[in-house]
Amino acid sequence: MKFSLNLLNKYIDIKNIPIKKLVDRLVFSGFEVEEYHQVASGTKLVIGQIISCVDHPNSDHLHLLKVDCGKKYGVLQIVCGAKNAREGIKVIVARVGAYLPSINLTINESVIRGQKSCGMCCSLTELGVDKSLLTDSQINGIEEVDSSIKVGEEKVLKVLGLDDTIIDVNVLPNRGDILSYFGLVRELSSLFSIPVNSLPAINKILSKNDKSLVEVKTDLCPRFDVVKVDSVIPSSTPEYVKKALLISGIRPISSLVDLGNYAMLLTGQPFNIYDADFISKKFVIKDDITSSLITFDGKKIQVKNGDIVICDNDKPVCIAGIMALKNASVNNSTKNIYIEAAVFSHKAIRSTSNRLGLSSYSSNLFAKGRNMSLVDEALSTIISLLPEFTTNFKVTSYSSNYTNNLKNMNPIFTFSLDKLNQRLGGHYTKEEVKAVLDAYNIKQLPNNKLQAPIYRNDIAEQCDIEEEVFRYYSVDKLDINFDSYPKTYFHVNSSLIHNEKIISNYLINNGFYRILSYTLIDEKKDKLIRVFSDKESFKVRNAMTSDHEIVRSDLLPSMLETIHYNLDHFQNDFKLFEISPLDLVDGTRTYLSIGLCGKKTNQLKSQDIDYSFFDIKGYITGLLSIIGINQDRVCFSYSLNKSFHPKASADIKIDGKFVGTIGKLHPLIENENIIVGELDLTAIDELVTNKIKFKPFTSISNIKRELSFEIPNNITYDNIITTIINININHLINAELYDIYNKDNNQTYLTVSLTFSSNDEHIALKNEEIDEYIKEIVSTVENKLNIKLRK
Amino acid sequence: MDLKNIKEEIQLEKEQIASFFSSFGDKTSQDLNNKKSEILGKNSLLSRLFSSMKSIDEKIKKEVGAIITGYREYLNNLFAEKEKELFNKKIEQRIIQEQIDITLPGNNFSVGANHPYYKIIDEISSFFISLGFDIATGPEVETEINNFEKVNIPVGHPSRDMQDSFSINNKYVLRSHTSSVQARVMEKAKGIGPIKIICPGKVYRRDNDATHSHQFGQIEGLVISEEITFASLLATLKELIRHIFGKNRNVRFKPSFFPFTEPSVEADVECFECDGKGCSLCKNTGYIEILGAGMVHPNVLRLNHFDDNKYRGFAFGLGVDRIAMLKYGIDDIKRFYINDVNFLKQFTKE
Repeated sequence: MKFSLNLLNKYIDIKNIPIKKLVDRLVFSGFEVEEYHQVASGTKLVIGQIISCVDHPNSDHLHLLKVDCGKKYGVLQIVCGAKNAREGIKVIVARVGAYLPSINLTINESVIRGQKSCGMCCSLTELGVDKSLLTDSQINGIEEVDSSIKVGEEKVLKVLGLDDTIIDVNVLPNRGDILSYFGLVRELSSLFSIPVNSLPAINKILSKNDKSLVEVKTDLCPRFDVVKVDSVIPSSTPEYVKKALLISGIRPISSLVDLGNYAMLLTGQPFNIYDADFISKKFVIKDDITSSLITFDGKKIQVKNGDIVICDNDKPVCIAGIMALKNASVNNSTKNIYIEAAVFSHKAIRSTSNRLGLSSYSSNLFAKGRNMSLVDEALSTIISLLPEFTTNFKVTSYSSNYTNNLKNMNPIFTFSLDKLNQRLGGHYTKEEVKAVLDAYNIKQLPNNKLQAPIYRNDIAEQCDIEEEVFRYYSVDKLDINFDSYPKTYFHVNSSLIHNEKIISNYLINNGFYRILSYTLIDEKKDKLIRVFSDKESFKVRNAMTSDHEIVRSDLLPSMLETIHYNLDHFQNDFKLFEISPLDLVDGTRTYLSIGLCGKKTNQLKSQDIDYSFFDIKGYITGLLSIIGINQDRVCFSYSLNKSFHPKASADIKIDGKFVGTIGKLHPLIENENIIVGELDLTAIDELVTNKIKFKPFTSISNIKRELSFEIPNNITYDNIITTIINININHLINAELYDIYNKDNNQTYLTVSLTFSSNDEHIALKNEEIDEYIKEIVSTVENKLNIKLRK
Repeated sequence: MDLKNIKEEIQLEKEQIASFFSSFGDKTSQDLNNKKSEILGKNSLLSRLFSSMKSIDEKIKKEVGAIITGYREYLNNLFAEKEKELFNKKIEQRIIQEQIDITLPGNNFSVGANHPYYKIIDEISSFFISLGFDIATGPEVETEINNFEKVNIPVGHPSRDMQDSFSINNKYVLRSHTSSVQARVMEKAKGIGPIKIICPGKVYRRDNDATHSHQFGQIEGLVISEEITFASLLATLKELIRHIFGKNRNVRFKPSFFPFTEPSVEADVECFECDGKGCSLCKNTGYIEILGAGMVHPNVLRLNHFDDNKYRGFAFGLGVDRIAMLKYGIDDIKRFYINDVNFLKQFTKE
């Protein structure tokens, strides 16, 4: 909320506090000051009167003015371009040497198109006044000051009421009371120990509730008060009120409307003023009306169940807290009025205001929630202001549905100084705490009981006092330390988190970039590819755009999107991965997605080769072994996933349990040479069993032999290796791929390398023994698989 | 053989050897070996001289012996020196042959990088792990009760509006903060402390501009014990901020408000662009807001079955993306989620 320092000064004398000190005190006691600035600024200003205005001889739009600036400065010749410059008007003159900070201009004596100019006639925008405070003609021309201001006046900003500073305070939700001048005045009074100049006393009429004029038929309106004022004769709104309204972004309209708005700024309580002659019966507040209504400014709106509507019996007259309707609004001929001050459900006001797209200063106040006890002060304030807005009036009656008015409803609670010091870890003394309680007018009752003043319903228990004490004094009063920490130790409570870290480091060290993508994706992408669950994903019902609507059940759509983004932006060769928990309809799983794109680079670019299935297979094998899953537990078989390439992708099983799919995507889905994969780390985590167990070893020289087979399409490497291993030759310690060679088409030669070793350090294997083994292997493989050794 | 004769023969051979060495040219070590066996071998002068020692006159035997052994030593040294010379030459040649252009690029072992979002999470996690905190996680599709009620945001509170958080159905939302994890941890603790956790994770709000994304990361922390104080919270925050932004940075605290905590504070770090002098990054204030924190509101303890007369706690929360943007000078939060390789590869340094 924007506050005028001048208006604050009316209720508390803070003239002698430097603005920087004022702002710092607010900031370090829990108020966010967004900014503060002078309404207008400029040096060497004087009021002058134009005594002659002729066209500049060498220009089609400039004027040549003679401006009488009083005895001290005499008559100045000024060249001026403003359209509204004319003889007789009084203007603001910036003399030679004047500095205007908002446009960073120093006025010099100059010659403009051959004519001397000794100053400048100013507009208010040139003095730094915000355009929102000005009319169009003020913005487009020089300021025409009131004729009653005398020529030669040098305190220009003061006489124009522009010697003011605006402080913009962002009020946090617990301090709704500060959304008013009175609230901030009270806070400043507490913080600076300066007394408040008298605030309006509670008006006697409030103790005479006749209840007859109000009937509330909804839970959404806990308090509804009206005061009837008869025989008003509206006068014009005081200038200082207009300025205060403008600073808060409220346009002055008419004296009765301005009265309500000004009282609202002072008290934080929104008012609505009705023309009493259009209210025939009584105020009935309802929330069950469905109807099309016309607002006071002529807009047609639709209200429905749940909107709070104020009716004259059955006839709607106001949409509570948001907008008055045309039929009972005040106008220039209004004679008798009802002043309404009420409290409505902030939730209902927010929801109606959002739905109708109507928000106003008062709807924003209501939407933040009101302290019901403040209505008494608010009504008393607006009554006390009446003499400034109407030349005649008579307060005739008061009616409300609320039975606790004029009572302090704040709870009485127990306070303990020891507890305060224990919780804060501080050493505040009894006197220091009492000073705070006194500063905030907190009533100190016997037996350590406290009660907050009526306007502070945020103070209701011990911790609220702790907060007041902490923010009242400097933070340096607390001796900060680690002493109170409970001694605990970090546990890896989830091996999943641990393995996630290991896998992430492994991949990063192998040249991968980790990515982070959106959880919410569009429906089409969600359906494009799934490695695991094919169940329907969660869907948010209030998505901002359809691009981010589905809670993804798979990481690959995002991986593909990322890869294509980079391809479209001329990045061709990269390795990416993402690890993220995903919330599926049947629980949370953590998945790992991998994407390889383009070529893996060598020292010589001419030798770069495309990433292939075997790269991802290698990385997967590596990362599984690094978290403790040996290769022999892992089985790869052609993938059955319809989104993957049937002949160049694999499903992965560990101990027979499906844990993921890797490889190329189906050409119908993906045209680029991209290799992707996804693993279910949650599933893998349950399969991690092996521990490191040392095995004794011997250092014996091994003997290697290679065998090359000619194989057709239906025979795999795995077939050959399994066949060889199943022979169970004691001295065969390893069988692995040595070479693969495609000759012409369909003719593939596959060479395996076999490693033989004696089990005994002292006995070497003989060549004849190995020859026997080789013979056995060749004949078994040839017979079982029906393939031939390469000649 | 007399003394004179011996001396002459040695002198003669010396001259012969000298001429061999002087004309050695590009002879090989094989040539040298041949010469060596000729001069030091069985049929050599030296060998003959040694065998003649048996028949030499006793009177000059000692003198002759000294001459012969002296000559042998002379020869050995001579050949050893030449051998060494030849060996050094060979090594030199090998070195020249093995010369490479060390300015050619190294073999390509590409270096990857962690995403800045996860770098910040790792950095902050390691700070708290060193203080003995555990890491807690929870689902992102979360019950309204855990996301709101249990953390003191009752029905009707402004931040429960449909415009602020994503709703799945009447019971579930996408969590709007990681406080929901705290609610879960407290639930599990069944009113018994101590609790010392941080909860890093993704959260979701209906927000979208250069500094707000509908998805962002948060790390919240919670300590509940019988002894913990506000002063220890402030000490923790100060050290955390210095851990992230440098150990000499000033940290300041301002009272603030959060529904979950009371008293509440905001912690600011001295601007690292201008060292507190004032610049566009810190909007001329010299300080940048980093995080919010406070003592757990007794009502939150009660809502989560802790006896607020026995236990107290503190909690804090910070935005991962915001910290990463500040620390690395990233201009737009959306860069985190686009994953342009040109962006990712800038975070190679650990």
